[in-house]
Amino acid sequence: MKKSILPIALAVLSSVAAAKDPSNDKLANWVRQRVHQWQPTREERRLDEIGWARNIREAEQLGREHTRPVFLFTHDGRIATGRC
Amino acid sequence: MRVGPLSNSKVISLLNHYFIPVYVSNEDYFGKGATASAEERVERQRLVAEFGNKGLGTGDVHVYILSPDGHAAAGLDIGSAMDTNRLTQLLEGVVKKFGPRSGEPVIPPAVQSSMPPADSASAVFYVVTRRFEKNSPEDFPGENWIVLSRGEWQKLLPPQAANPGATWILDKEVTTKLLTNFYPPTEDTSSADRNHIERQELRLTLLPAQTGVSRARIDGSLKMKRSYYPGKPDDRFVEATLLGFAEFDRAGSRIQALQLVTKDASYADGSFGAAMRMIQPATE
Repeated sequence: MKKSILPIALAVLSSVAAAKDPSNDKLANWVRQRVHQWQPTREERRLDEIGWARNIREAEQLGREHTRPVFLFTHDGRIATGRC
Repeated sequence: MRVGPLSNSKVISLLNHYFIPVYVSNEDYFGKGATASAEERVERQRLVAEFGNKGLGTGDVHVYILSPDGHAAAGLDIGSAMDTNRLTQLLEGVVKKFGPRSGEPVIPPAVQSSMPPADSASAVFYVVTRRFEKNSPEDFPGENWIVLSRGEWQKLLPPQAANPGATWILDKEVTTKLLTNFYPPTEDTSSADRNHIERQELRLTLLPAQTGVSRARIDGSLKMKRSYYPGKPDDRFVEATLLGFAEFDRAGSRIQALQLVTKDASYADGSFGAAMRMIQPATE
């Protein structure tokens, strides 16, 4: 009986110790920093600086209204999320 | 295009001041997942036919220039369009030809990767992944949005009456939904899932509450096969170890925050990082 309880008891104690580990606060800060550092930068999001129409027909309509040519880029995947 | 000409100040200025710019994904126009309206698809077919008839060139990945009255005017294949100088020359030539008056962008610029619609019972998560190898066109972040329904995010909550030190493992379906986007930018011509997860785990450990907030540490691992190109199977794998933290309300009945990052992550021969955070908690 003692043999079967010991590993469980050790596991519980280990989990409790891990939960109380003050290094978790440091790790949480490290995680926050990584999340922040890896966000897309303004330079990587210059696509957002362009005033895009939602679709071809809207672009054509606005082109006629404002006497502007239409720049149409057709592509695979999702350019807005970089998954392309 | 995004990392090259469409990040170039001169190109951006030309497009904003003289053109009506629009980009469309082929995925929305062709195949089962097409979401473009019938009228929109017909119009695209008309344009491609007109460009073809005029010998101006066509392609799935292509730059088309339409005259202000909506007719084929000029174009560039993608190889040429990715050369910023070539694209700039094309745009300047079109401006000279049609003489549009310079003005502010007709449509105000706006963030292009934005949160998908989600009801107030859902929680929304955002993932960014990036390669660490520099000077590569692929050194550009990939982004994904994940919406978890109430039934899904509730699986992240600690078991009832759990004490600090209690651990629980997130169920397979929700783990897959959270981790399937943990891959660096690859050739993604469609959003169809081509991942094969061989091993995944997100293990949560309840930490002592702080200032009325219940917290859990998240330790995880992932091994996932993902071909670089869609439709071309290969033996490239994502392998990652993960660390994160979640915060719950005092009662442990609602998730308030979650951040999860890769500690170490590789794909094929390169390394990458992935970071996920909850953008919007459920409010009901």
